[in-house]
Amino acid sequence: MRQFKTLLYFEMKKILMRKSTWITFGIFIAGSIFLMCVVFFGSTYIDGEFLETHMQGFAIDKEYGEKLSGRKVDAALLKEMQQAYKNTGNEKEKGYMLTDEYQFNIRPYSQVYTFVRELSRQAEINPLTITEEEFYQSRTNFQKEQWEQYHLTEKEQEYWQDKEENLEKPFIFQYATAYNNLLDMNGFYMICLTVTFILAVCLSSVFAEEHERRTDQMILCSRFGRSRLYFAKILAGSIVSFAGSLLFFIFLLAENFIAYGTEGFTAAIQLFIPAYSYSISIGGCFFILSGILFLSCILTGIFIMMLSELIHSKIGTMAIVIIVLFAARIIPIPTDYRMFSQLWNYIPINLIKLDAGFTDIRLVSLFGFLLTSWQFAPFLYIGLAVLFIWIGKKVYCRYQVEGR
Amino acid sequence: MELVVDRLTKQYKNKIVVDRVSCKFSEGVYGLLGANGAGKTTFMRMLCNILTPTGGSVSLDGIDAGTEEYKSFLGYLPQDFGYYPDFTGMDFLFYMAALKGLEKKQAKQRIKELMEVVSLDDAAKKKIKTYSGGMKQRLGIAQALLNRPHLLILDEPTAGLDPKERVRFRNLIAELGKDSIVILSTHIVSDVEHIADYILMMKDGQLIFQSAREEIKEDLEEFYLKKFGGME
Repeated sequence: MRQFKTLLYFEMKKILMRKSTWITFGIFIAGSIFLMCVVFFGSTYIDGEFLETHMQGFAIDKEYGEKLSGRKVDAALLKEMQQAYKNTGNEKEKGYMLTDEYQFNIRPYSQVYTFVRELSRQAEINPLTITEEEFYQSRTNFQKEQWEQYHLTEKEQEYWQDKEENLEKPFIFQYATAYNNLLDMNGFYMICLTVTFILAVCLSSVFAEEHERRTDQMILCSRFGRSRLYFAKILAGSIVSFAGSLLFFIFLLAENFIAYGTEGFTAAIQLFIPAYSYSISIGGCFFILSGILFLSCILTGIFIMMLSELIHSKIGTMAIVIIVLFAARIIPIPTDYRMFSQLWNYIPINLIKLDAGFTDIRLVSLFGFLLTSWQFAPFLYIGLAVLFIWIGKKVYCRYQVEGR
Repeated sequence: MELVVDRLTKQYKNKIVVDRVSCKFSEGVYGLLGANGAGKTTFMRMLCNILTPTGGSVSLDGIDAGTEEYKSFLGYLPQDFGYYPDFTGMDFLFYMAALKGLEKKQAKQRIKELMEVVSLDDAAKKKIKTYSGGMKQRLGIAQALLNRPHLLILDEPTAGLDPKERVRFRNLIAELGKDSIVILSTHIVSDVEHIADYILMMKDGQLIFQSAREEIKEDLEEFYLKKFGGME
């Protein structure tokens, strides 16, 4: 398209030349580097006594985890774990983790213990006495409770029942700490939170600035001012949104893969979300969530730009985005209000969490197919992006320069 | 080319800001005079299609003001000229050239010419935030001329210019008026006295006077004051 590239170049330049963009990016990049340094160069102290450096600790846990990788989570493994943990009566004693007992007998099974404890806690069964049968039964019981709690329809229950039947059991234990970390609260969730905040600062002025600076008059009466420029602005903002999320994504990947290794790609998601019935690997979840992460960051960018045009105020736009962000984080909608509660989970900051929106068992029916939240989210996000672009374009084209 | 304004009206609730203005413009310089609040800026904004009229129409050789084609013939300098402080003068003109549909090569050539015309060639690569008020105004004039407009609308263009720059600017406008329609609004009579081929006067949203400059035999300032009731 004629002049589109030039317009895109200048729109990118406008965003990237702002001091607020550099300051915000700078602060968060510095924060990421600092946290990375803490991970790589920090040490663990127990009751003030040096235990090991973080990197030594990661290596030890990785070695222990890999030794158990490929083992079935069955009676034999549970028994081994329980045997190792049988002398944990002095667990709370000072310096317990420094003892050889912990380091050589218990620690090798700590990852299995953590996994079993997650489910047994929900079933109120002691992980140190739980049997294989109880373990898998408590999982089934917990699923049934969830079905009731989320008011699943019969079709949905059949869907999950079917998935459950196709799930390979007993589960195979695998060391996959890197992927688990990437998909938990300090991983993709943190990127989504950080990038939303950065975009609120950087993109809130994309349209508002033209009205605040009064450049809108010259722009809107120029040949491509109401047509190509709008799309150039949207594309520039979307590129910044994608690039911003990619930057922090690379930081996070580097940090986790260097610290914990890349092993565990094929581990079942059930090792992290035990009650989930879909047969998918943690590596598969990583790819899907990466796609959703990038898509949600672009959607957030487009939403911010639309607000910027709707309310013509940078500060107002930032305020709305921050309020929505915190509301989504702190206001839980009871599952009794199924539709609202389900929709709430599709807000990127909620959906991006492996143990929340991503594994929400409420399905969406689309063209006769039942879709999980992560299957439906890309359609929803693309649809919303198109809707936001359309609304923004309508408002932008109808804008009247008056008053002043 | 002919610009036809037919019963152009702008009304806000109970207030009529521009009241059924009709006129035709062909090549030449038109000085639009009127006190502050007379409706000049609203009238010009409607000519530029950045404000939709309540009634009436604007067309250039039959091309409606709302079309991209009309805008490709248009150059506009608003009264309150906005800019991007971190852009250089050159960047700003390249950006505006792209908005006006100029090819890169064509834009480069035209920007070079205009920077010389408005005496900003030495400051072309400096950021606009370092420019003085007069330099910014000259940059605004340059952007309006980028696409060699057939219809040039200038709202209070001499604001911020020093006397030397004013004279230079008047000469430039007179030159442009030979091939284009130039509509220049001001409340300073001397700005249009020597260069306008036609004089239009607005009061309370209505066009109360329109005539060729040569038909006004007396001093324009005195004539203006008479029309606006400032002199008995």
